[in-house]
Amino acid sequence: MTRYIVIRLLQAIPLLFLVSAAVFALIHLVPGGPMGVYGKNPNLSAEDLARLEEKLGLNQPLYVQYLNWLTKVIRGDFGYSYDTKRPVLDEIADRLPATVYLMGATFVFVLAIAIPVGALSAARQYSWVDVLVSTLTFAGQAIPVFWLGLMLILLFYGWARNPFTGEPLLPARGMSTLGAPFSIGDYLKHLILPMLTLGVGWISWYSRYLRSSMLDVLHQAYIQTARAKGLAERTVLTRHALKNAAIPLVTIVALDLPTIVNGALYTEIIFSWPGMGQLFFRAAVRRDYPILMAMTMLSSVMIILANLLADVAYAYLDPRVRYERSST
Amino acid sequence: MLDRALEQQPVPLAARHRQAGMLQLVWRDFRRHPMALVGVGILSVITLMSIFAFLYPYDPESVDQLNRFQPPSFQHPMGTDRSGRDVMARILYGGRVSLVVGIAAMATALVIGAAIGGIAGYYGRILDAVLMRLTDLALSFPSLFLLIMLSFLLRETHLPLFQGGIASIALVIGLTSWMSVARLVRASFLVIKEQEFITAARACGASDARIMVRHMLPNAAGPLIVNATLGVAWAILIESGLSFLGFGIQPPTPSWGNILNDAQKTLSLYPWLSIFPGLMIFLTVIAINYIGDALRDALDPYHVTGRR
Repeated sequence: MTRYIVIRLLQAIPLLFLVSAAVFALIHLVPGGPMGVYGKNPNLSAEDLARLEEKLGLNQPLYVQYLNWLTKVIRGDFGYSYDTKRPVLDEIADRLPATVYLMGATFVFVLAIAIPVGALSAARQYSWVDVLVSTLTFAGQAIPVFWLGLMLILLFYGWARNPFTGEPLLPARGMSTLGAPFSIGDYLKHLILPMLTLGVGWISWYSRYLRSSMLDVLHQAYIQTARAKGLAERTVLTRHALKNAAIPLVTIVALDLPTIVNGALYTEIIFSWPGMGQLFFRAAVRRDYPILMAMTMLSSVMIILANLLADVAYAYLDPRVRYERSST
Repeated sequence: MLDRALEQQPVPLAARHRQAGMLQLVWRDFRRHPMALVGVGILSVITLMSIFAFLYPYDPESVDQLNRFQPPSFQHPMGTDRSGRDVMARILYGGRVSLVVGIAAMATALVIGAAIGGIAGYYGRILDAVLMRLTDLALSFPSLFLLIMLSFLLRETHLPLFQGGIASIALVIGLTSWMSVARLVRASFLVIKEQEFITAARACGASDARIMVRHMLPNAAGPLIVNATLGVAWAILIESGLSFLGFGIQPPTPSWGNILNDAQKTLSLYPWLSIFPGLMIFLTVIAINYIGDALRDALDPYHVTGRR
């Protein structure tokens, strides 16, 4: 297995080079880049702009720019944000905790709901519970996340009031109340709406997935054997069926892990959450090339690692899967 | 053509075709899903309303500063927005945009995906390896990033086709979502190319292109139709999301996403402006998803349909 992991990691290196070159080219192909953004500033004269272009190296041929970027990145230097002039890594380090906090909490929340719901609706196939779950999860998958966020704000911030203070029931902006002393309760209250917004679609997708893999498992012979042995239905479902049905889900969960770092674009924008999604949005609008490059590379690395993790977890959980002898 | 006459092998979908007419069979399975029928109903209403939007008395882009932020009334069923434009009119015309973008994006993805997956599956060997690595590469790009960058790129190319953003956004979504189609077509082609009717067609002198398009593709159609249906819903969600962020369809051309973007600025003051466009996206997507789900059952050749 170690050998397999090492080979996969080595294979990832050329892939990352390809991705970085392609992304770099794509970003710089887009007309009206950062110079276009600066050009809108009336305080900058034509000479200022030319000097700025020279200083940022944007007047050099594309491959020179790429090689400059690459040699610096290999030394761990991702450059400075065009927008704030701060080191890119500092910008990312500032944003990462908020995103990891939001996404991590949402992940736990999603799994805590999706697993029992999916398992239950499979165990009671065609019952009213199953019909209800299936209707709700269909809706959950079709609802646009940005609209759901707005509707939750409307409901819990605009409409519902705290009966004691008359304030909105839940806050809808930011990660905590500005200027207020730190309190866990305040953080948790700010977490609820973004977490719900993000969670609904995710819960729907996971629980539908678990339901169908659980239904597959329930038709297996070893489930009949377990029942024939006289085991309690509960034991059969949790110890025999759910454990095996969860294996494919583990793969899916592993593949979703990069979102913990990428952040949630729509949710972060709607709730003014100071995370990676917002950073990316601002960088895309302002054509902040160094930030965009660093974030794409980070997210490509995460996608590759997550794929590897999914494959390794699969082999670990399902003894029938072995990678050593066969080719990938 | 002789090679067509030879195509009598019991490949599932085609085989059922011989017995009762494929559409009839598919319909028999399809109508057993009540929610899918509701979906067809909803989607037909939305489509008809978008097509016949010109019958509606208000213009989606005509400004009326005296009647800004009117609540829903008999005159303006969905109220008016911050420029006094009738929201219902904007929603109707926005529906055109959303549906056209959804279908065009999926068509683009189908063409690209079928070409790449088909060639990979049919020729195998090096072509297969290269094209499938290309597919893997495309999958390891962060897709939202790609969508946003490509939409910038196309928006500023100034080709007449791309003005207003409809064609460019459809192309962008197609360019970032062909990968599942490619994998699907490749997998089907790997199986189909070993069948005898393909050998027979080749013996009759049919060209590679003819074999792929006329003989193999129709036999891979079942899963593709399902994938394409769900893909339309996906494309509509992506388009509305991009437009919501301001990267998609550019105002004043209305799309459900950019109507919502405009409305969210006054969310708590004039909530109805935000409710309707999102509701339309939701209804359209859920209707298409239900239809796709039923089609999956109806087109699955190994799916046994209870009592016959």
